[in-house]
Amino acid sequence: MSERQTLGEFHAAMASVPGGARFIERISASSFEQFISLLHEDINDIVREMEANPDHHQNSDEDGLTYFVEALLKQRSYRASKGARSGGSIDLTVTGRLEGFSWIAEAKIFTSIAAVREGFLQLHTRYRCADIEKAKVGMLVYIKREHPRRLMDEWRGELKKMDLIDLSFLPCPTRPQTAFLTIHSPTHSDIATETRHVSVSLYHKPLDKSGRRAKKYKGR
Amino acid sequence: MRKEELLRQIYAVWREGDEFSLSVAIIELIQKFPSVRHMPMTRFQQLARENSLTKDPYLSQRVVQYLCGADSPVLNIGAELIEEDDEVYQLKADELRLAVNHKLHPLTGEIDETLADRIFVYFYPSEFIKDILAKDAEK
Repeated sequence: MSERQTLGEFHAAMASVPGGARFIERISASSFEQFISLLHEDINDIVREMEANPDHHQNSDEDGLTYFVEALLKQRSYRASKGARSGGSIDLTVTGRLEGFSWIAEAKIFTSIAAVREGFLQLHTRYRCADIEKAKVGMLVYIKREHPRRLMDEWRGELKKMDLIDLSFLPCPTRPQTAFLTIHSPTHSDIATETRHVSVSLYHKPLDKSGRRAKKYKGR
Repeated sequence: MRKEELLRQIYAVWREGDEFSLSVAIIELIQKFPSVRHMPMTRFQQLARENSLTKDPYLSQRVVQYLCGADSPVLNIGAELIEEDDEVYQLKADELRLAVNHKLHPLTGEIDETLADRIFVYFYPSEFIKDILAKDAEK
């Protein structure tokens, strides 16, 4: 039909689009571990993109922010849906093209510790993974307030108070400053379940002269 | 799924973007040539030019990443290794990943620094889109 493209040329061109450098890995992932590892990288990219433009997200509510994440995951070869039902209406369900791999997440704007706690309880007591043997889930915590690390530390402290069975904490290997992992055994499965808690820092209040004058930042 | 529903699904992701227009053009190309087996990336770039979608040099890459994905799995990727004797070997998904990440030759299992220059990438229609277009033809 037309001239052929070598794998080297193809891979180099793909690396120029968001998520494209991992395209071949993503569509050829053959194990759950590969799928999850790539998904975490892709979510990291999306979070970086959101954090680089916090002004774009000031008027978005929880659903709006999660729809944004969902659309960008779809563009990167995933099926992602908001409100899929499995025990309840899950905030975000992500699958790959290969049958059997899926990941669920709860997304919350950090309005209070109680709100994040509610999200975590929904994730672990209401929703169900497609396969409890492949129990890795996520918490996306959108933070529109100052001091996101301090707030995530508060959240870590709250988890310690929640009587979760066999709870342990691990650093996140790819976002050690802004994410962390917990492992605990929910009572419905007794299977060690990994939760990746990712903060998305969206605080935006410019203090320069035009920022101080802008109506849209007043009252924040 | 019906074709109209598929197009709505693609539109929901890209809205008015050129990605939607090129996705539609690719689906129409498949509808016109249902037995097509080898579509190189350059064919999609040509389609973009034919549809005056030329502003962005990486439009085809974004569209391929989406259409090979799980949301609207219209395309499958294929890769063939062509050696000097013109012998053609079709790579499996795992072999393609190892070729990209580790330059591992699928037949010898050895590292081959120039392997990526002898593997050619192409795309072909998935069973998913063939079923949708077959239903559309029945109408």
